[in-house]
Amino acid sequence: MDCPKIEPCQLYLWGEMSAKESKAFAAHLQECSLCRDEMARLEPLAASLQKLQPQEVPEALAERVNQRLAAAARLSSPKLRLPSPKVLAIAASILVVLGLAVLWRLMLTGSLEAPGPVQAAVPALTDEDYLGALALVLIMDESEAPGPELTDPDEIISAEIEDLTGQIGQLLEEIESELAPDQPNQHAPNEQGFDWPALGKTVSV
Amino acid sequence: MKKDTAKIDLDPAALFDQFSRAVYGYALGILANVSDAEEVLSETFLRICKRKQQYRGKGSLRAWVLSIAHRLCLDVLRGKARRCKPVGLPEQLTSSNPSPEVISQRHERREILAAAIGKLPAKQREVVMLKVYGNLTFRQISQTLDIPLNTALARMHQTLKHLARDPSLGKIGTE
Repeated sequence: MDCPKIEPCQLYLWGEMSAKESKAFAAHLQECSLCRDEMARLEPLAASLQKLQPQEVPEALAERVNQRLAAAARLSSPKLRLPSPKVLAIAASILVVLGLAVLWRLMLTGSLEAPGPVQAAVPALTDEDYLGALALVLIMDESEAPGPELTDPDEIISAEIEDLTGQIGQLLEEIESELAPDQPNQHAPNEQGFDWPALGKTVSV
Repeated sequence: MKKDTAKIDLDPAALFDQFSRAVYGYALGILANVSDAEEVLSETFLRICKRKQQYRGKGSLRAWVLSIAHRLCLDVLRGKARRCKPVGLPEQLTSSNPSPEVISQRHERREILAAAIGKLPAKQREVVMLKVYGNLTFRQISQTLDIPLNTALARMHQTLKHLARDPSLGKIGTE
């Protein structure tokens, strides 16, 4: 049966007790025969164990491991290290934003749809051009006094509708002639361009 | 017992020069297989390469290195799921045909003692190997193995009692 105080003897055997603890344990050994006998039995073995030395690492093995460590160190060197994913994501976002900004700018300035040489020679007529022409027709029509004064509201409205119909028809003819420049156009533009007053002539349908 | 000072700036190659013998001796003692011990030795320092920033400077550097080796040894044992052979020395260190002139009394005693250690239960062998080859204090052993200090002391005590009962160790006396 062991003394309850025997287990700390390992600290004593292997020299890990403080000076104060060693002194106290030595005093206990003087008083406890169980511990004294146990220590006498174990001390030689502990001394023999303390003399054991670890194996030498074979030279070839040491060289192999050092080569692997050197290779690992090269892989983790700052020159080969890629930026962190966070940095890469931020850089990609900046590039995308810049690209979108350039694209938006190009779209606003119309650079993406810049007309070619042939298109530039022919004026592009938009819907606004045609509506503007119609408005001018109506204005000029009002400035002229082509017919007798009408007093009946129904007659006035009918005349207006008839007038507008004729003008729209003439306008459509103009559009057709514009789209087919090779065909003989009786309403070919004069030197100044389209004869706006000509469009204002009332043509009886 | 000399304690290592904590080093923050770790150089795996320098650590290998300093602790490779302790790691190799420990792995060899636990695994009793040369190729497994070599693999543990190599992998221990490669892991230090990858994880050197994990060492915060607290505790012994030697204990930290050996704790990595210890976990790798456990991985090998679990992976192979085999009992350690009851031998204390690897084959290459035992001469198959020793001549009387070559074998010194010290070498014979070392072989006998190492063989006896090889027969110990795994948990006792871990403590002995860390103490003898790892040169760790009992407090460091308790941290490495994640066991209480009293448990580490008790296992060493049981080890010495076991060895004391081994008849092959009757030749070992006081020096």
